[in-house]
Amino acid sequence: MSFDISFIGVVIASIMASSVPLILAASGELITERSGVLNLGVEGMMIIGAISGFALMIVTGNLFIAIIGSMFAGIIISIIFGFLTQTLLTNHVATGLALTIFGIGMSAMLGKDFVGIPGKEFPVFFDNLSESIPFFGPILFGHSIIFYFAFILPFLTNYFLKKTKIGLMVRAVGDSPDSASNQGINVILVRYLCILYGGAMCGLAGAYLSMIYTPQWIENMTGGRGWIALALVVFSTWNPIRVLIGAMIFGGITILQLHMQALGLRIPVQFLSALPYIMTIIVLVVISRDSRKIKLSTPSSLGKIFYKEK
Amino acid sequence: MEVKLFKIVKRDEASKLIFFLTPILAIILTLIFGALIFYFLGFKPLEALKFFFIVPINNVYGFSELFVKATPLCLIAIGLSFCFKSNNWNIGAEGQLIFGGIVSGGVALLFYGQEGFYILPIVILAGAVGGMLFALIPAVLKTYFNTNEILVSLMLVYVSKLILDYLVVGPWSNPEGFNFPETRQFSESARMPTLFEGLRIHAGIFIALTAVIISWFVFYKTYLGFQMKVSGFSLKTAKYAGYKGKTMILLVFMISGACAGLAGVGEITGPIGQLHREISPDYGFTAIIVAFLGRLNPIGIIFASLVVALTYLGAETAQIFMQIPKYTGQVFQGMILFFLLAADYLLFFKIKFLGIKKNEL
Amino acid sequence: MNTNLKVKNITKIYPGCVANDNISLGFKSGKIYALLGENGAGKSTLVKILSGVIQPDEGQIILNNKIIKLKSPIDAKKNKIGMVFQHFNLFETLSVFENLIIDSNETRGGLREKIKNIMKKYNFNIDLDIPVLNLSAGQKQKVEIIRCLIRNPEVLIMDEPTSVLTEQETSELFSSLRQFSLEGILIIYITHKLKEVMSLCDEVAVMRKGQLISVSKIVDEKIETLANKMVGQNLKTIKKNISIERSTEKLIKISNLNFSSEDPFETNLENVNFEVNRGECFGIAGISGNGQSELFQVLSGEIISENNSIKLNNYPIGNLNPQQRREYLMAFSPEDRMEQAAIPQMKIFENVALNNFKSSNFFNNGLIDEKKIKEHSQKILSDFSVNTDNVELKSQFLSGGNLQKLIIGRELITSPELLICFNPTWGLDVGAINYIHETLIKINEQKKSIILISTDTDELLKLCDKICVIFKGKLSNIMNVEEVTSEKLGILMGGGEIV
Repeated sequence: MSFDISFIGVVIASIMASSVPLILAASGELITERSGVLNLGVEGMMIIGAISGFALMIVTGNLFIAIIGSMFAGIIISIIFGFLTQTLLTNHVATGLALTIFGIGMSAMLGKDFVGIPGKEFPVFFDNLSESIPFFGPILFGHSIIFYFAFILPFLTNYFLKKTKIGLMVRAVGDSPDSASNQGINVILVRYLCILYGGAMCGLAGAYLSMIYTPQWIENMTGGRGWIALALVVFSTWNPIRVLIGAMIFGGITILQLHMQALGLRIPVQFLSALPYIMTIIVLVVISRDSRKIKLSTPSSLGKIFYKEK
Repeated sequence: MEVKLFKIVKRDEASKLIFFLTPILAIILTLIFGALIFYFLGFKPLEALKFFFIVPINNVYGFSELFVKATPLCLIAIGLSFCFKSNNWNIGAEGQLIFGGIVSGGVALLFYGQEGFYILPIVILAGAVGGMLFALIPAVLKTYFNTNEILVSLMLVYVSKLILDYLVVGPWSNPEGFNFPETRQFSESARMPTLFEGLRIHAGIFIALTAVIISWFVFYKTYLGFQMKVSGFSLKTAKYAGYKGKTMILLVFMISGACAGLAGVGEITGPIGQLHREISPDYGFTAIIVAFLGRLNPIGIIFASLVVALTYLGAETAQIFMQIPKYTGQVFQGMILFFLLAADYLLFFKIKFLGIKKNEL
Repeated sequence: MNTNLKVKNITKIYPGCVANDNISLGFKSGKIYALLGENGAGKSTLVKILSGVIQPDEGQIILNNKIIKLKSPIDAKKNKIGMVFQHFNLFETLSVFENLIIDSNETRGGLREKIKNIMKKYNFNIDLDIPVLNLSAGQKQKVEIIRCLIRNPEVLIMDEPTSVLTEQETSELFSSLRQFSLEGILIIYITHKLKEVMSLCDEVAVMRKGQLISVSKIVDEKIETLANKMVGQNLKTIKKNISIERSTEKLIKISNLNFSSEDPFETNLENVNFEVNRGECFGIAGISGNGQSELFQVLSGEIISENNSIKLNNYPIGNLNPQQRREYLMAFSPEDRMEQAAIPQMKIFENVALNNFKSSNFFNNGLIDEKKIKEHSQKILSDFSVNTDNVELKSQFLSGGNLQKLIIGRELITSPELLICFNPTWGLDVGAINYIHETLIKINEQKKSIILISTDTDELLKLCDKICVIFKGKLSNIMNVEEVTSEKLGILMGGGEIV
């Protein structure tokens, strides 16, 4: 096996492709968590998006409707979560888990008739360029619009949080919902919107998997990526740009596994796969040691129920 | 004219009646919505419900399978009740189950080919210890490093699955097994005895029942249980009373881990008989639903575990007879928890119906 | 500016306590007004009403001869009333600038200019782009002040502003406030610190137990006269009957007790020394927030100290926890009924079990002896006249007074050698207060000792043999109750010294 540069280009491109769903889901969940809501239902929302997108693609033949539909499906299922946690004041952890379990089951039911059906081809941009230019070709060209969107999203998210008024409100609500409420911000509304946004992005992430990455529907096809996305949010200490880097690392590990034999590495595949999770635990410990560090890194109100006596 | 149909008022006292009714309410609502979902997806709702909830248990074997599935659920949920009652959110019971399975499986393999009545108890003990140690990781990180136990215990679930994967594919793989990702079948001495001819109910059910009794005893009858209860309500009060809050946290995690580990042993020495990739259909997560549905109460947990076990069986049966995907079980499990959590709102708030008010002109 | 603010007949009642009782006051721009009183006097309530956080039950707010309704903090801001709370309303992880722009309608550029001008004018020096978390308390307060100033307020209310400031920061604050006042902003300054009132303010309104006691000009007052008003003039209140012979047998000795904490809202204790004899009631007076809570926790064992700093019958107990101290026949009644002394969601008998005193046998061999606990609870309920006889009742359904009686009863029925209590009658009705006072006096008659930490000076004078004052974590000289006057107490409580 030779280390020729075009091969590396292809590998990098495949790492990027595998990190797309992680970037999308984690970016969505990041916004949700920044507002103080811990939504463990990421896996459930992703898989619902996956089946919705695929099903709409087959049924309507219209890719645009399928993509929008998948985001819409993610929104609808996250409304359940939002209603329960924000209006009925239920426990975030239990509700999120229920969402995941329900989502996986529901997607299997909806997808019953779609197993084994081949997906439609998704349009990509500048396909010819991807093959003709070595190294940069496969990296920059030949991808779907969702791919490009995923790589712009972290920057948009960052801009949103730092430079826009609404982004500021999201951060304020996550930092101290009581102070925010005292200043006239509608904490519940802000959180609802963040939850719905998270749902849309997770739905999109799922749709990418079923429509573009492996264009087919298989039960439980998200395969735990939702949990990795959750880990990714923590691992990147709720920073959008680090989500991008982290997603590449996590995605890279997945790809690296496939080439392990070829590269002659003797590390057990499972150890590599476990790395993202172990790294996340280490990051968690490091940022939690110092109460000051926790404050600066973690949304202070994450997971706590907010109830304002009138 | 001002129209105000209802007003939501905070209750003074959590209604005791509602406390007992909500699980039943949740189950009923689940059945109704489940039927609706079946209808909209093109299945005959009543028939589907029949295959889901009645057919699985209308013969002896089926009925016994209910207990086979309920045993690990009950055991894990009992362990979880200790954690949840004291505000410790152990979400990683699945990981503790798997790790307990790994440790006990390893011990069972050590004794491969040997005979002796002492082997099984050692294997069982190993499983409990394995689960306990694995649960200590989030416990220690929480107590001494202030780290959130939800995320840590969750991450460890995947770590444990990967360790299992590595072991059954690699070093512990059955040398005569044609490279399948599984270990040897454990020898007779390392297997849980079954209780009835032809049925899979095994002695693990006694472990589960013992756990129920012990947990009931500890929680309602002992000083230790009282301390756990107080610590869950208010660490400040616990401090005032002189209780050791940190020790309590470590203890409840260890208990929870041991229970999950025992459930793991039960599975691998019981129905499964070896180690392979999937030793648990997410029992550790479903047990969380069981714990909530059973209101963290030992008797409630017994009933809840039977109900949830039924959803597992029902999913299998519905798949066989009506080609409804097996994952449907999770639809019901998720819905039960949703409705239970939602219904709990009524515990703390009541809905007052007002009439239509006319504005003064 | 010519601002005219009046509150008329403001009344606010909470269950069991009248926070504001028909208060009427008038303020004019260009002056700095002090609102003076002990904790619980009602100043915070009044000021929360003025800033829209809570609504009065009766009464009106009249600004510039127009009645205004303040239904929320936003209304207050719209009416040009700015308020700086004691506990800041800041977002720690956001930068200073982000905190300021979040509730403003201006453009980023415009706001930055405005802030820079304000900072220049008043000599504030704060980096706008660092997270608020990294600021000192004084700087955080300046951010809150800037937040008010951006809206060109006519009224500026400061609630206990110096509780977390250093000397230097305090004098910077005062010069800023004087500057604002000269520019015509009406300033209302809430405090319990007499020295500050004397040096900063023009007029002072004294509140006590929900009522307005007096309004006067500072020039007409002295520290002693204000102290008198704050603490209560009717010192004809019953003072302890000291005809009973006092024991000289030392029960507990606290020496060189120190406690320090990193939390800026906690008070450090410095070199605390005192002794209590058998049958004696030792009182510690002081305004809330001067270290009483920390002192209580150190005495109860919730905070462990150096072993020799606390000696009971000459035996060092400094590093024992509360349960272990109970074995030595100590009992503790904390200030916080709802979150520390009891758990509202637990039943009465379960809360009684929290005090597992020596020889209680509640938990024989680790098992709960429910029968014993319930019997014991029944006795408490009847001996201490708690208005229920159902030990299975959840404690949240007891009124404040009855819950307190239950807690005190729980502690006293164990016949402790030493009872340590902190504001035992806070928030109770007169009947409950008298009952508890009588109970405490009886204990002394039985030669048991009490350490009474209280912010209610009447109570201390009625019950104690010896009194000292805690101020900023240090104890004053100890006085026999005969020598105490309200002036002395007031001065000591305000941080002064008695000549």
